[in-house]
Amino acid sequence: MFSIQSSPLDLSTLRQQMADPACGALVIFEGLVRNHHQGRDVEKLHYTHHPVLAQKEGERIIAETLAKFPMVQARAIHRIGTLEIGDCAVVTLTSSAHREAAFEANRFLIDSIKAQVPIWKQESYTNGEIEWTSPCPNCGPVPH
Amino acid sequence: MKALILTGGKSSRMGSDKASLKIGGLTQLDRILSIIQPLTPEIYLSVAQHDREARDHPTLPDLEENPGPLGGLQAAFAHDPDCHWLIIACDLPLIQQSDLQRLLDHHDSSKDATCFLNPLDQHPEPLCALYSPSASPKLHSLIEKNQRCARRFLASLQRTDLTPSHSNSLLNLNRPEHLAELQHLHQHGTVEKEITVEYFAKLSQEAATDSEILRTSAATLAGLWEELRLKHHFSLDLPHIKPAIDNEFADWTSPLSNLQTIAFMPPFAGG
Repeated sequence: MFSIQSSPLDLSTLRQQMADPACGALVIFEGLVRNHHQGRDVEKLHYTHHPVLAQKEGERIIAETLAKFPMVQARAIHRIGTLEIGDCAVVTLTSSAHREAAFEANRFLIDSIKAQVPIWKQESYTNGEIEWTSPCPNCGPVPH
Repeated sequence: MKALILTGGKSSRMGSDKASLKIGGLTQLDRILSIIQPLTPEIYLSVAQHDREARDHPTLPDLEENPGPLGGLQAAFAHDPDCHWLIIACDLPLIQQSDLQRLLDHHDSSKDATCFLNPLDQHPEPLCALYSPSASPKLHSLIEKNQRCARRFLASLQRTDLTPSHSNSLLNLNRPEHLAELQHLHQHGTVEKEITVEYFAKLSQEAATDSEILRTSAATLAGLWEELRLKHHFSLDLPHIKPAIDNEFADWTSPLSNLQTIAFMPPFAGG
């Protein structure tokens, strides 16, 4: 399941929703808003998206993850709107009987979301400047 | 009046020689020749400095290596400084004989040049223009200062500015995706459509709007993008943009239809 929301992510509820007695491993990745980007001091981020395509693409990536890792459960949520330093912008959850598949699936899931889901962020810096972020090599996706 | 056709060199973005690209079975060079021949018997081909290849028309080699787009005009005036030169690039597949005829009809020999303003960005187009002998010394002094920007040169001249027959008459063949646009226009003709365009993130900032409804005669996504890129002076070009038609990702060569909604998206930056 994939969703996009403007309200804060409730991790404990998400964790409960992943509960499965057959799973011995649950991997949770949280993407957090950090206070620096490419040497500049970040104050906050504003996320926007293409509402229809982002949802569609997110669902496709979840289906792709499940097909690639058949023994895994997967779920991801991305936030939009204005986020402060330390806020969770995206969370990917993968569970499986054993940790190896859950780790691998989680990595695949978050990498795919960052590269393929039409979501953008605008960075506000502490010096008052505002810019649309272009992904840096450390942040993941190669520009299409 | 004499004409000089800029046959160009290898195009890095097209990955091939533009003069020999075929649309509708005719190479770009043959098409330009066919529309110039009725206007003047004196046609020259601009070629690289050491190009000795045999051609059907006399050639004017560049006077130096890689002189840039003004090299052709420089060689033309060196060959005959007292003549009016019609300079035309061979990668203008939509230019019509009637457009060139208008350059001749409106040419004022007391001015330096007659040219078209590109309707997409209102800039004078230097590589489809008629230059008077009075432009020759001005070109010479510019090149002496080692300035080689053709647009800036033309902008500095005394000109007669014209509007071409169609909004896309001066479309350049710069990318493989544009070839599909031109083939489509050749096959199906120019069809005007009403399109809703949505811009996201940086593009919406640069266009100063999230969406607009417009009429276009572009045939494919690539043609529409080129039109809007020039209109809004976007800082990104086609390789960095992902297009969608009616909420589905699409290829640049996808044809446009009336009343579609097109989205142009800059590189994604989620997470």
